[in-house]
Amino acid sequence: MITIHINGELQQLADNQTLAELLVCKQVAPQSVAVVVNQAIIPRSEWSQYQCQADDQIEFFSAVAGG
Amino acid sequence: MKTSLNDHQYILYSKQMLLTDVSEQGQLALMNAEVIVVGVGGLGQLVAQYLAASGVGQIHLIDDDKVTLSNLPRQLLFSANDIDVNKAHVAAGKLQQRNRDSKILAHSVRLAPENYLQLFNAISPQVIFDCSDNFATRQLINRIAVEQHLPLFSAAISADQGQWFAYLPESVLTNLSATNIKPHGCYHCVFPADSLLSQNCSQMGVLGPAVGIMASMQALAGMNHIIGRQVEFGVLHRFDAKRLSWSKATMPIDKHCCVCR
Repeated sequence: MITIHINGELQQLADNQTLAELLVCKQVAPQSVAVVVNQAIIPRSEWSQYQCQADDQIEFFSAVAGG
Repeated sequence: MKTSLNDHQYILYSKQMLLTDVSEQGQLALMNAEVIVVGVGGLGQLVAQYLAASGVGQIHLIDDDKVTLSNLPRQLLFSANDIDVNKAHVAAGKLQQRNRDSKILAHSVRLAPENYLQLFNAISPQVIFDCSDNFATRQLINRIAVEQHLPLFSAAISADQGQWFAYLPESVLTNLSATNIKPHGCYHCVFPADSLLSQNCSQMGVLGPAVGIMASMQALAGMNHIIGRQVEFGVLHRFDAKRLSWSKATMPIDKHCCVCR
């Protein structure tokens, strides 16, 4: 198990879990968010390759489009 | 092309030119700039006011919307007398009256895939400001920035969540010598076109100053770029208007992006 931060909260996670798997686990629809890991956005096309690392600071957020 | 200022302009723009890295050269850069502002709502009406008041030479305002009563608490350029009149026309008229050094042009159209080429063939902007109010138009403006090789200054807000970024297409980057700006992702790299929004502007509330903060950042970043100051391109800034807190994240290129790749 590793410990990561998701939107500021500590979470335990199985080793070798990818961002795509994390989103499924959290029941977050992939098309509804952008994902930031350690202050860098990870493009959606790379979520299935990115393996979460211990102490990763992960944030999910939606686009806003109003003006 | 303007190469000097008259006495009136020296006094009018003196506070801007007192900044040592702006000076007369930066002021002339603003006065020789042609920019396009897409959307003249909460963001656009304020961006346009700052640009016009700073002396930006030509400002194209694009919006097919009309002023409504519920716009007035945050769209301070408009008044009750303007209700039901096209926003681009109202804004252009008022800004032209106040800012003699700028040429303000109203385009009362909705920017769309069918009409943007006609518009961009007729004008030569060097910067585009995305002040639109919907995701589809934001995707289109991003595509236009890539295709037309235009630096893009984009802001958005719904409820208490604001986002803004500056994007410089790679085609522009490669033409800039002695730059330390690294290639970065476009809007589509961050939010692909099939993204789902949890917040729809027309259904969400918003406070006027929160919109003003996003518009001010957008206008300031654009002006800094025109003046020749370094701008942090390829960084998405997020603002929480309830906590008054900011966070930011870099925007890497999506190698599979169908817009900028």
